[in-house]
Amino acid sequence: MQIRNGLRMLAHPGQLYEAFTRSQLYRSVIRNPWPTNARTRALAVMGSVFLHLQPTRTRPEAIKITYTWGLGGISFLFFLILTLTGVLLMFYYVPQVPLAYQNMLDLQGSVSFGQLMRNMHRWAAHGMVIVVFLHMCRVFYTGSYRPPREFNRIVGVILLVLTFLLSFTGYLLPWDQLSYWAVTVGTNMVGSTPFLGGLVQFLLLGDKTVGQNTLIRFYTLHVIALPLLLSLFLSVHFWRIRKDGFSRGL
Amino acid sequence: MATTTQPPKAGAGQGGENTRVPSREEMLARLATRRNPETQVATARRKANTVQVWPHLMIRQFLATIVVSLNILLLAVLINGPLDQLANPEKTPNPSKAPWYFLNLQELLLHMSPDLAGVIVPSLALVAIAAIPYFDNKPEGVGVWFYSRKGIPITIFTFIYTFVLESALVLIDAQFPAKTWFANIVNGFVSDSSTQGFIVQAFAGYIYPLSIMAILTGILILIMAKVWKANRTEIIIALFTGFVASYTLLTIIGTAFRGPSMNLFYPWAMPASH
Repeated sequence: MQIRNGLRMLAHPGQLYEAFTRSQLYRSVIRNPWPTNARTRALAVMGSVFLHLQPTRTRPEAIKITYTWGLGGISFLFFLILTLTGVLLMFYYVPQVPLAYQNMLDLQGSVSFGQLMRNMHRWAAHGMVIVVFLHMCRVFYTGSYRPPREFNRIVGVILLVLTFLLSFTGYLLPWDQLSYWAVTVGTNMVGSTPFLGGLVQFLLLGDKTVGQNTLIRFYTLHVIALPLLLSLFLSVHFWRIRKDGFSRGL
Repeated sequence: MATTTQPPKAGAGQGGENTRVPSREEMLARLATRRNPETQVATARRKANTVQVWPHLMIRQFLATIVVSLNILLLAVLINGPLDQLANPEKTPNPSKAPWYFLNLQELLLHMSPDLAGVIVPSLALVAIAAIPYFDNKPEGVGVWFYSRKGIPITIFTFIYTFVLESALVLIDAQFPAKTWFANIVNGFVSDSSTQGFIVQAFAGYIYPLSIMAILTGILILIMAKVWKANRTEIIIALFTGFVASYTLLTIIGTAFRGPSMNLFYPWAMPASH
């Protein structure tokens, strides 16, 4: 009898799906029904670790596209795309002189979708620098930095600096002429600062000129230290937005 | 809405003979009925002026995610990231350029001492940007694009002001470098060459660029205060716009107009780097 019922369900995918959503397994993972009314919609936002950072209700003015242009969210999306493509690139990349450059050629020439992953990583990185900067401008021109959001402005500027540093440290990794000399020019600027400049430059390069020590330092900063630091400040940034409310209305 | 009106279901009574554990829904409903009338009025008013994040905000985020991801994918399919030859410390390309978002600093480097251009000016700019809310701390104007009726004209004016004057300064400094003409002047007064070098360095590297920056900023503030009758917020809008315009202009010059030996060229007449 039960077997026959089971077979009948197989013939009707809709019933099978319904039985699945009624099962203990499904309900232990997805606790709320698909949101169809005010209550279940609120529960869906509150009950999810990924969504609960957002309020359940908000003023319509605060989420108008022509108000925020979604720039903060798009910056975060770029960060996610960069993390994903970055992890895939790490599978093929060894930060060693001159092997790193050979890895780049292999990645572009013989790894499936290697060139695509690299391109996406690069364009998303440029995109993130631009969009983070534009977000900083949007927040300024809408007066969204005003109390009680002063501290979040500071956190935002720190995030801007971290974005620059992430992009800059990533710039060296292909180990071609372009990256080598760009980083030489960039770090020479730091080195010309009076008092601590030379020391900071040596700390960054691990040497007097850009070389193997620099590559491993920039690589470590790029793939772990700076992303962690960025995530930390990002959490504070999001949390403060949640606590202070969206800047228009409420 | 449903949360506030649902009465507790039968069988979920307070203690007594029925010891069944109430369901989550029943608990929520019970909590709702416990609220006092004042809170309920406030809640109702809040609900009338707001929309639910699911679906109103979520749908925007969902669409933005798709549009942006597809665009990045499309860009990645169409355009390959550049890869030059293997790094060679012996062979310096001319020009050697930093990544584009630092080319504004590299442009400053051509007009002032390296510590000023590479560290002090950008650090001060970042600190100033972060410090804005501590100087402009009135809550009025939150969530309003360009603050007041004067906001947009001020922004446009400052953009033009900065673009015109700064382009002129870059051209003047390329044609008549401060180091050269000041060295000629100093030559007439000081004979010792090391003293000469020191004076020229101090003037061309620090005094001259710093005074130009201070004077241009001062004039901008003066125009805002006297001509536009701008208040503090509007002056800050002008200053911030001046920063954004400088960043944009210097990035464009550094990216598109600087060629071999960091000389100025038209983008369409740019010689190949070597």
